[in-house]
Amino acid sequence: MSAFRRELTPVSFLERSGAVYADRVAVVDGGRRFTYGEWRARARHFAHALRRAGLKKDDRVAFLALNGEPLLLAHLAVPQAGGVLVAINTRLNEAEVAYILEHSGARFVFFSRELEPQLASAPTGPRRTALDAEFEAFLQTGSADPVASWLEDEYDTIAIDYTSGTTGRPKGVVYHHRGAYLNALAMVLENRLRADSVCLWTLPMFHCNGWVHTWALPAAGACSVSLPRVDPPHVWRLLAEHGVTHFNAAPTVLIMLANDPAAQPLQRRVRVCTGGAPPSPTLIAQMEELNIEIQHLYGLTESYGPFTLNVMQPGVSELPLEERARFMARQGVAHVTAGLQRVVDEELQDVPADAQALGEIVLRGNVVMKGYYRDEEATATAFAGGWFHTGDVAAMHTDGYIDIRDRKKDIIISGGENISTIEVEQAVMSHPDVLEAAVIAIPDQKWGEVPKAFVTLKPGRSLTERDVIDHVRAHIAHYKAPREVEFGELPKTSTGKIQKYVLREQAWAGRDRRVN
Amino acid sequence: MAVTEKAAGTTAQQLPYREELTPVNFLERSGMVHARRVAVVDGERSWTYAEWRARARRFAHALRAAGLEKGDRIAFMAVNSEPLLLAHFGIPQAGGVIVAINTRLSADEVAYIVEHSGSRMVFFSPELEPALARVPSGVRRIDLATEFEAFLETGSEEPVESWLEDEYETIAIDYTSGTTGRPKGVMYHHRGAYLNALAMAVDHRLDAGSTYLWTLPMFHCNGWCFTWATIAVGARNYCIPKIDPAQVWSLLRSDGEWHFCAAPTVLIMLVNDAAAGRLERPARLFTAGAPPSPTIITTMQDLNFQLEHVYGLTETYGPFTINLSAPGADASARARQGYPNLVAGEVRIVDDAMRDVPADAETMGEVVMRGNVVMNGYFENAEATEIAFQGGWFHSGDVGVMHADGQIELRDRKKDIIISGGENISTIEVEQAIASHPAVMECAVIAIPDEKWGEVPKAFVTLKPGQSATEAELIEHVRSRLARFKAPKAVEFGELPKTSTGKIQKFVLRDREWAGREKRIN
Repeated sequence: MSAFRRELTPVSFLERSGAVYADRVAVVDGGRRFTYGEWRARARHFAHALRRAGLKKDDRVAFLALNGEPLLLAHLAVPQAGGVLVAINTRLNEAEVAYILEHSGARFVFFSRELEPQLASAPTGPRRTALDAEFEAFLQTGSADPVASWLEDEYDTIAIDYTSGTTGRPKGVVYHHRGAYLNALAMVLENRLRADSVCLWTLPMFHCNGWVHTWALPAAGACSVSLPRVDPPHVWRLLAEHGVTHFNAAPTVLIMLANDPAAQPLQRRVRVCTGGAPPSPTLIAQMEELNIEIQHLYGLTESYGPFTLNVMQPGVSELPLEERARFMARQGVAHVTAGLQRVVDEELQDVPADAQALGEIVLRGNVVMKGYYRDEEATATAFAGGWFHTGDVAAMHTDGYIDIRDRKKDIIISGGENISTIEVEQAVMSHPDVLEAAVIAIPDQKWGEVPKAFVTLKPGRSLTERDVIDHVRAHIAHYKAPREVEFGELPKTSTGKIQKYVLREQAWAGRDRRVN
Repeated sequence: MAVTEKAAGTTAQQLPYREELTPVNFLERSGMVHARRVAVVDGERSWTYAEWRARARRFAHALRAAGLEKGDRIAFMAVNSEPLLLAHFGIPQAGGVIVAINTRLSADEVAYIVEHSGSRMVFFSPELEPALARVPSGVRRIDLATEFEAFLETGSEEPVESWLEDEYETIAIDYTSGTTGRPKGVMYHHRGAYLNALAMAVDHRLDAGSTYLWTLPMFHCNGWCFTWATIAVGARNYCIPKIDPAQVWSLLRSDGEWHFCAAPTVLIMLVNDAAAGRLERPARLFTAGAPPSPTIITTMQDLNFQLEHVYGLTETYGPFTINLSAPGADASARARQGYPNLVAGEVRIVDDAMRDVPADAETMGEVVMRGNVVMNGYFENAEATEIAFQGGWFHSGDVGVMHADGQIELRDRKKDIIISGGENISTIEVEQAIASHPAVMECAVIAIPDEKWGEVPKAFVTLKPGQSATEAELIEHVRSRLARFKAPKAVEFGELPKTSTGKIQKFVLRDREWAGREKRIN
């Protein structure tokens, strides 16, 4: 470091806000409240405690926790200590959690008590700390003194976010401090986050580190209101009680909220970022009536969450609802610090910007991951040609807005969560009576998409839909199980390869997109 | 540490690619994202973002066609206008470095800057042509009124291949008056410009619906980085060549969500104008250059302005700190310089041994800074650069105190600079000019408080025995050598207070002139 260079890191955001917004509330968690001054001290305590407990630079610190103050704190304290945060999806089962803990080599695991059963198969080596009185006691072993930085380079790793990939095993997406900083800064600017903003944590913090809002909110000096579970009446109460100005959620959650009896127009206009699926005209209309402004965004775990935004254009707000919704359904354009997005063919050439020709979305920029942890091959494949391949298929409008139409990779996005079709197929096929299976996404009003399995049984065997579903639930996280099962022959090529696209065509007939 | 030991993933060298931070990309993006929104208004002319991005690319290609090589300096001697704003994108996009010269300088000073920077071209507003009188003939000149459009025609609107390899490459050189008399060229890099531009956008609350009024000279720290900030968010830039208070009031009352920056002097001019009156829709502004008085703050707020006080130097890309007091805070709280902005870095108040002074709001020390928005040095002046960065921090030369809550407050100025109407005047430069008069034996120049300008220079002169000169003569003498605004407003004749070793004690003179005031700056 010199007088004119300072590594870009989100850790600096809380260090600054701790002084600048010392008396403003940083976090509300149930009955507890911390000002920024107090919260910065708490982060330092946590960082020192980790170092005292033996944390070395780049050690992974895992969290299996519901949204809450400790998980939010970890986003600042773990990198401040020199560690790497691994915030695990709380909906995974014990085998999946164990895999991630082993693969990441985490030395510490912090967990919400109610999730302790999910650690049943986890390696016993890492030090475990429950996020109750144990955590407070752990914090006490640290101090509020400034923490000497071990950060050498802003390209050092700040977090590893595990995401379901097509191969079935989740991949660890590596984030660096620089990308986290720049994406957070973009969220502050694009989302108009300020010191008087109040954000309700409807979005899981394990999703791309809360779509980088875990860092953006402390940067702005805004207030975070914790929410361990999305319970619609409770959400409506909190929205009113705390004067919430922002929250983030997949359309599924918004649909749930809009249709809940407790829904009523908010006094203070709220800005909601949504992604993972496009918002429907119905939803947009409902949200407007509730005094909620929707901001559609797109990105992946590999792009620190939000990469593109559907930026409002002059005149669009005056259009009739259907047209407005069609415009808003587009994924949009790269935000101010993201980089470049293109839609390309197999030769990496741009497709014509005619809103018709389809190609793959590829990205490059400061907010694209460093790579997949301990998986050079997958990393090389993902960055073929020097651009990150998203596996999302889209058209490009003349104004540069991308518009997703299909998905190349075998992923279903259901209620904002990735489900690997291959993983589900493998689970179905592990049933002794199943000969072969194909799983595809089918559209669903509430969840956007849900998995549907097409199964061919072994001769002479019989199974019900329920049997198949229960079998899958016994092996992988429940949310990944198929909602429907159809039995019969699978369409195949002359060489015997299963033609999933035929199944998709049938399931999505009459729709312009093959994703929802 | 060996790569295999570096546990969590790849190192920087193994990244699939690097993406340098540069404000050039703000226009490349906004040209598409805000294609149909108005980017710039200048008199009768206006351009959408799509049109303006094309124009910047033309400018870049034209510069390359004219022989620009990577790193070449291109000077602008221009009033606030669309071409000067365009230059902030076209020149770095071409791989060059923009040198936006202070339009109030004399021909001698302008020539110095053009030569020192090695600028190969100078673009100028025709009304400023006389100031180019001493610029060497080898430097190509382009008149912005009559030759600029034709120059642009020699370029094309095709994408411009980037020559930028490292975000630490220089994007601009901003010349600033220093204590030694000769201005120094502060080097800005693409990274610092990018980051401070984003911070300015955040703190000024700029977005695509904003209109930014160009009351602040674009040659001041590249418009305090607002030349880049406005473009990043798709705001509308409204150029005005000079400040006409009636026009400003009329604009602030017209359609739009108005934002601007100005020194307190300008604000005083505005509130005292006949057109002054409470705005129906609030306008937002930053002020800096001198601590704004409680009077002006209250007056502006009453007129429905959201005023924020910022502080910085040319060496810190303009604003480094910002005062984030709540609107109801008292006058003394509002007069502080505050905290570093979101991207700036750190600030300390230190003694001569670089130790922090107690945070007691009393003990004075020097303001030192460190961070991403500190210059990386003075152009071709290794010695001054080394001095400025002694101890690993940038020395501002400003003197202040540290409050218990971490906010800084300026009290005096170590380096002998007067800030008059937002402009730097080096007292040493003025002293040298006075001393060049044959009748003058010695002199000292200090800042004295002034209602309108904040501070003005006052000279204390001892004449040679038997010689005579009047106040008017000496003032005129200075005007003939330096920019007119640098000449003293008053001259007092007599003996100068000195130490026993004969060193002039300027502080004694300052104490007299500033008696009864808490600060030694205004």
